Parts: sequence; C-alpha cells; structure tokens
Amino acid sequence: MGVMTRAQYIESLEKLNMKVYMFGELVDKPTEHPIIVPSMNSLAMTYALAEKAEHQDLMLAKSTLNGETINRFNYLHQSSEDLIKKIKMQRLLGQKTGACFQRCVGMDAANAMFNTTFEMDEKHGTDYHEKFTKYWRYIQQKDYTVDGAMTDPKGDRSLPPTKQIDPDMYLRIVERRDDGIVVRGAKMHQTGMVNSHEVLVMPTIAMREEDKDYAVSFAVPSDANGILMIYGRQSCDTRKMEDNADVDLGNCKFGGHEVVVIFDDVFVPNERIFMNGETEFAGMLVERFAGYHRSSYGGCKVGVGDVLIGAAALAAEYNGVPKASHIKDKLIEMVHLNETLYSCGIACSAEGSKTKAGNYIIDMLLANICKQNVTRFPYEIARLAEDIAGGLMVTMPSDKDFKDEKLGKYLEKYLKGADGVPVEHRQRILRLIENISLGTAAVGYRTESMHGAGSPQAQRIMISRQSNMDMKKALAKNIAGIIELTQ
Amino acid sequence: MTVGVKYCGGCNAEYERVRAVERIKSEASGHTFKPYKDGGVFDKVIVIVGCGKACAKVGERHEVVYIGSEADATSAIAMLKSTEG
Ligand SMILES: Cc1cc2nc3c(=O)[nH]c(=O)nc-3n(C[C@H](O)[C@H](O)[C@H](O)COP(=O)(O)OP(=O)(O)OC[C@H]3O[C@@H](n4cnc5c(N)ncnc54)[C@H](O)[C@@H]3O)c2cc1C
Repeated sequence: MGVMTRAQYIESLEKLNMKVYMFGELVDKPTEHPIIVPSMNSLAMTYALAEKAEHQDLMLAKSTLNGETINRFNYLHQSSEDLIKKIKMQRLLGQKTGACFQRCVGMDAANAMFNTTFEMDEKHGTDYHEKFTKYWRYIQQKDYTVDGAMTDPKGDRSLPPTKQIDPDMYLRIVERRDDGIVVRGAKMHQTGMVNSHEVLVMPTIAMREEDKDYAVSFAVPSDANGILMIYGRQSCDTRKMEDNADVDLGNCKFGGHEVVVIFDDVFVPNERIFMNGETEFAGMLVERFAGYHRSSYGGCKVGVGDVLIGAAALAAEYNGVPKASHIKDKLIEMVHLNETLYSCGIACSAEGSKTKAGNYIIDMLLANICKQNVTRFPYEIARLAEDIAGGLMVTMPSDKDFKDEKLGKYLEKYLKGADGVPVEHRQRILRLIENISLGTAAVGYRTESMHGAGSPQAQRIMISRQSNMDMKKALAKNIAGIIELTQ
Repeated sequence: MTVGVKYCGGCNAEYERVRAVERIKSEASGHTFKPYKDGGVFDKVIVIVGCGKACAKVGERHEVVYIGSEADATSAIAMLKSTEG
C-alpha cells in the first residue's frame, strides 16, 4: 500500500480492538468519542496532506527499504536535506492543526532504533537490526502510525530501576521464553497512542549491568493482549462533550492526547524484540531518540506558534489597536522567538551526519539547544498573546449566552470591538488563544514544550557534555597569551 | 505542450498556490497539465514555490518556470498562451 488515505487510516483504526478507558469507563468506539475525535483528526491530517499534490514534496519520500513512495513520518532520513524537510513538514502540520499531531514520536523512535540496533549487532553479533528493518518495512508498507514509548513511571527519581520498592516502576522483562518475552510495566504520557496501530517501546534511561531485565525494546500492536490505556485529562476537555460544541472550544476540529499505557504481562514474540538485556546500549538509544525528538520540536511547535501569532494579530485588529506601536513590537517579538526555534530545528538538521547504519542523525548539541529554547519561548509567545488578547479571553461568557434570547443582545452590544468585526469573530479568536495558551492545546504548546523529549535539565546535561570546553579554554589561552610550562 | 506541475511542500506559502495553478490551467487551457514525476517527459515544468526559498527540486534536464507569486502566474500564463498552437 505505501500511502493510506485519511479515510483508510480512520477505517484501519476502527478495526483495532484497543482497550481505552476514560472517566473510569471502557470507551466503546474511540474513533467516535467527542473527546478523542479532535486528536484523531490531527493525526489524520498527516495522511490527508499526503494526498494533496501541493504538500507532497514534504509529506512523501521514497523508501530505501522497499522502493515505494511512503509517508515521510515513516521514513528513515537519508541526508541533511531530508532532516530539513522533516522539520518543514512538522511546521506545516502544526500550522494546519494548531495542535499536536502525534506522529513524530514514532518517526523519531524508528530512526534512533534503526541506527542503534546496527551498532548493537556490530558489538554483540545479534540480529536486532535485521529484525527491526523487517519490522519497519512492514510499517512503511502498511503506512501505519507507531507510538514511541519511552517514559516509565520512575517512582522515586533518585533510585535506579532495581532499587525501586516496586520493581515495575520501570517496564521490565518478567519472563523469558523460547518464543519471546513477557513484559510488565507502564509508559506514561503516551502521545497519540489511541490513534496508533503499533507501539514501539524503549528504555527510559541509561542502564547498568544489574538492570538487564529493564534494558528492553520491542514493538507490539496497540491492541495486543494485556495492553490497556487510561486517557489523560486536559484542561477544558469536557467542553467537547457540550451540545453543539464549537465556538467555546477555540479549535473544534483538532487536538492532541496523552494516555497512561499499562503493559499487564504482554507477550512479545522474538521477531519483535530489538533489545534484550544489552544494558550498555540503553543510553545510546535514549540519547539518539531524544536528539531526534528535541529537533522535531523546532518544527511542530513553530507551526502552532504561527497559528498563535496569527490569532494575536487578529485579536489586535478586532480590538481596534493593530497600529499601536507596542502591539506591532510585541508581534515582532513573537515572530522573532518563533523563527529562532525554527532556526534551531533547521540548524541541527543541516548539520546532521550519517550513522553507521546509513540513516542520518541530527547534530546532537544543536538539537539540545533547540529543545532548551523550546522549554522557554512558547511560554513567552503565549504570554505576549495573552497581553495582546486582553482579559476577555478568560472571562468571556459561554456561546450559549451569546445565543440566548435574553442575554445575547447584551453580549452582542458590550462585547463589540472594532467597527465592522462581527462579535462572533472576536469570540472565536479569543477562544483560540485560550485554547493554545491554557486550554486543551496548551498541553502540547506549553507543558510538552517543557517536559516532552526530556525536562530542561536533561538538555543542559547534554549541552555540557557536548560543549567542547577544552577547545574553548585553549582558544582563550591562545588569545590571552597564556603559555603553560610543559613538564 | 505537456506541462509538468510541481509544488513545493507549502510550509511558508505567501500566496494561494493551488488557486494560482487553477488560474494557469484555465487560462492556458491549450496545454496539457500533468503532475510532475521524476523521470517523466514534459515540454516544460512549472514549479510552484510558496516563498523565496524555492526549495522544491526537479530534474535538471527540464525546462523549468518558477512561480513564486500571483504575478509570476500571470507571466507564466502569457508565456504559455504565446506558445499555444
Ligand atoms: C505532553 C507530553 C507528551 C509526552 N509525550 C511522550 C511520548 O509520546 N512518549 C514518551 O515516551 N514520553 C512522552 N512524554 C514524557 C516526557 O519525556 C517526560 O515528561 C520527561 O522525560 C520528564 O519526565 P517526568 O514527566 O516523569 O518528570 P520528572 O522526571 O519527574 O521531572 C520533574 C522534575 O524533576 C527533575 N528530576 C527528575 N529526576 C531527577 C533526578 N534523578 N535528579 C534530579 N532531578 C530530577 C527534572 O529535571 C524535572 O525538573 C511526554 C510528556 C508530556 C508532558
């Protein structure tokens, strides 16, 4: 198949028998649940845009595994130019959805897995790379969406896996059989899992010799026996359950989601195991996945930023102050911050390099710089959007009041802004700003910017490691004329 | 003429690219327009780029016309019309 249409994608999800729980109940049909559907629409956009000639230059690529045209989200990057196209594709998707479109994690996990398994085999004579390549060829051919599952619950963060009171705080192998392994544990914050066909599991931290049972990587279908998902709440989520929900949602079509995924003794057949006790490679896999994913944020968050900046500019127009110098300056600042993030995404891609396995990897230092900026700039962009929007974005009555026979006329009268702008337009834009800066989409735009792909400190550790400080010190000594005596 | 149509990905479009192509197709309707494919045979290829970066690439052997604005589309229409048999 190679490339699914949007309709085929949704049809394929309907066939899955996933166990998704929300508000304590099993969800009957996830593809029809009003809280889930907007997130499905976002992910479906990765299929819909691939159908359109005017976006295919970014959305499609030629597989090096089977020669077919495939969705770029399932592609193994072959050059710096490919890595740049990935960033542009992610920006485009952010622009079209104004939300998290969820398909990046699997793409980033696959690229990291492809080159890490190669180096594992080189050292241990194992056949993980061949198995993973075979698996990924299948994913490309089916045009499936794969959830990338790294983050464990971690219990007491100061303790390693084997020292936790509950040994299941990090996902682990509980049984080794001739035909495979049985795993137990959980993965937290899983983006887009309910909209995914498969889940690709990786360890969450570097491991020590005694952590063998925790150094495990594998893939299973998202409806495999023993997997259950518990849907994460988002601020304002139940607005989607209201009758005729539209204006008050800010973005009624698109959204994102995260779930807690429980692996309750899940069997993994041998051909789908890609790491089984090779503790010294857990760190490499984590670093590489995080590197790819940290660069991804220089695309997706920028696209959502484009939407938020546009909304702020419209809010200023609707309030009648588009020409005020401080407003113009604030919009310039928002663009400056947003494009700085993009510059980082492009830079770490342009400086990408070839791995031993043949696919390309981003520049690690620049990818960490990118993500470190992402932990800050969206917050500042949202702050400026709130400044420009005015207080109404958080105090506005419900759309039902606007439509009410008695109350509507007051709201139409007193919530009017600039002449010629319908009050409903003002409502819609302010709700969109609310949605991105503190409603459902803020999960992706703010807190995911902070913690997704690792909390800020994780990047600072990497930046410190990659900073080549000795060279910088030597430069300073040279300029300052410091000559050290050699022994 | 057979004219290949190639779009950039559209992450920073400064004008309505699809509308510009529709206009070219309808106003220069004496030509046959086909989606561009690597290795395809075209008399000309129009490359629709959304911004000045013009990042879309096509094979070197083609005669290429870049369209980066509505004004470019208008010029392309005039050029195509002048070659209509
Ligand atoms: C919206 C969202 C989407 C996400 N999507 C995915 C996904 O699709 N797949 C996936 O695998 N993960 C995903 N993540 C998880 C993300 O990678 C983690 O949130 C991140 O690694 C931080 O882990 P944590 O949330 O457990 O926070 P914690 O690790 O508890 O961090 C909280 C604070 O404690 C500090 N801290 C933690 N441990 C230590 C320590 N040992 N010593 C000193 N300080 C410490 C941190 O630096 C941070 O400041 C997502 C997260 C979010 C918020």
